[in-house]
Formats: sequence, structure tokens, C-alpha cells
Amino acid sequence: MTHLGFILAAWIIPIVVLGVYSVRLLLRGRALSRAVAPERRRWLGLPADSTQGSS
Amino acid sequence: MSTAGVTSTSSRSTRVLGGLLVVGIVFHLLLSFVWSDADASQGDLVRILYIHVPLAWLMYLAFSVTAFGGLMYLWKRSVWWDLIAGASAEVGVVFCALALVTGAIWGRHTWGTYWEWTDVRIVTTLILLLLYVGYLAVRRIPAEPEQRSRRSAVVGIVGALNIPIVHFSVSWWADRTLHQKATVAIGDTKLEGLMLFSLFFGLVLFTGIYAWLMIHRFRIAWLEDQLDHHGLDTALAERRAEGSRGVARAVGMVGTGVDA
Repeated sequence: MTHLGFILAAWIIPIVVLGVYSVRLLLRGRALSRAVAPERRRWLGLPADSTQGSS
Repeated sequence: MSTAGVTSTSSRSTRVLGGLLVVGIVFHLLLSFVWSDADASQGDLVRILYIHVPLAWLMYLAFSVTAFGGLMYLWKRSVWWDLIAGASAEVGVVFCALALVTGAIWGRHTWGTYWEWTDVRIVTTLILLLLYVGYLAVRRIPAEPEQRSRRSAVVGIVGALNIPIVHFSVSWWADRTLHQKATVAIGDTKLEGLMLFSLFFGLVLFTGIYAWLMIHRFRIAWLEDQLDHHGLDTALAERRAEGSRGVARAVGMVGTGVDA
């Protein structure tokens, strides 16, 4: 295979960056989940106070 | 769904999706490096395109979602859409930066240079990246939440006007770019067989990666928003609970004569 170093770099850089970003998101999510009350973790729903100015 | 036991932004669906994506990445590596052949004109460098093109396409998608989220926010004034827009912009910036890096590596041997300032697609893509880095900066400027959301929605929508310019630049300014015209177009596809399949599998795989990242980033944004607006309520409730426990302990100690 020709230009193997360049081809590997073009694959390894995105995989490493996306991997590090994913781990960072997971760790941040874990830390925040502990800090927020359980009843306020309903991210899939639309609580009544999710519209600005209505609460 | 009960959230009492939730201690992360993961859920069963994201764990299943994550597992499928890991398998997909291994399959895509095999497709790109083992099963597909070198291109007749580009040689083995075509293997870079199996990751560069999906990154670029997902960059378009991510910033389009940001613009759509901004439009929906301006219409509905819902925090939900504002958070979707912000989450997608951050993921899009990652994809855009990686598309530029992988494109530069591919260009080094194809064109003999990592970067060409006269190439209209490279420069407009860099402008797109800077626009959305600016968008993320606008979201961090201290302001009233509604004002901040409105400003960032406008920036997100204006930034998306650059997406068609990036995409069609190779046709509109054909003499000012080193890029070839679209390789895959409806009715005019220049790839075939396993090479075409590798490219499309990459698109599907990276769409899945985008979805996984978006779910987690959106949930983080949601939690941050809850903490900003209700953090004081939570802290007060915790202090009250601690106070109640302290009083109960003191009463118990008096009752048993410990302090006598």
C-alpha cells in the first residue's frame, strides 16, 4: 500500500479525536447527572417550564 | 421513564447504538483497507476519502440542524430547540475541523500541498468553521437566556447560508478550485461496486456517530440548563434535608440522654 503513513494519519486522527470527545461527553454527563435533581433529568420530555418566559 | 436512578447521559438505546457503532467502525475499516481496491487514478489515497467525505457530509447536516433549531427557537421560543441547535453546532465544529484536517492530508499527495488559499472550497469551509466557532462563542457571552438564545439563533441561521456556497463552489467557481466536481451525484456517479458501497457505508456509520454524539451533547446541555435555572432550588432542598437530619439527630441524642 502506498502513502501508508498519510492514510493511517487521516484515519487515526479522526478516530482518536472522536473517541476523546465521546469520553469527555460521557464523563461530563455523569458529573452533571449527579448534580441535577432526578425529577429534572427528563431530557426527552418537554416540561411545562421549558419555554423561556413562561415560568 | 423513571430517572431516579439515572447517573449519566447514557440510556439503553444509546448503549445499543454505541455497540453497533463500534462494530460498524471495525467493518468500515475492513471495507476501506482490506476489501476495497485502490483507485485507478488516485491509488491507495482513495481510502482517505472513505472517512473525509462522510465527515464533510455530516458537517453539512450538523450545521443545518443548528440553523433549523435556531429557526424553530425563533418561532416556538422553546429552550428545547435552542439546546438542540447548540449541541449540533458543537458536534458540527468537530466534524468540520476533522474534514479540513483529513482533506489537507489527502491534498498533500494529490495536489502537492496541504493547504491552498486560492481554493474556494477549502477557504469557504474554513469560513464555515470560523462562523460556528463564533456561534459557540456567542452562546457563552453572558446575557439574559432569551437574549443569548435569540442572538445565537440568528448567527446559526446566517452561518448556514454558507453551506450551499461550500457545496456548490466547485461548480460555481470551477476555475478557482483544485477539487473535482461531485463524485457522487444523482444520475452521475463516478464510483461503483465496493468503492461506492464503502463510501455509502461511511455515510451511514458517521450519521450514527453524529446521532450518538448529539444525544449525549443535548442531554448535557439540558442538565446544564437545569443546573443554571434550578441549581439554587436543588441546593436549598439539600440544605433543608441536611438541617432536618441534624435536628432529628439532636432530638434523638436528647431522648437517649447522651448530652446529659
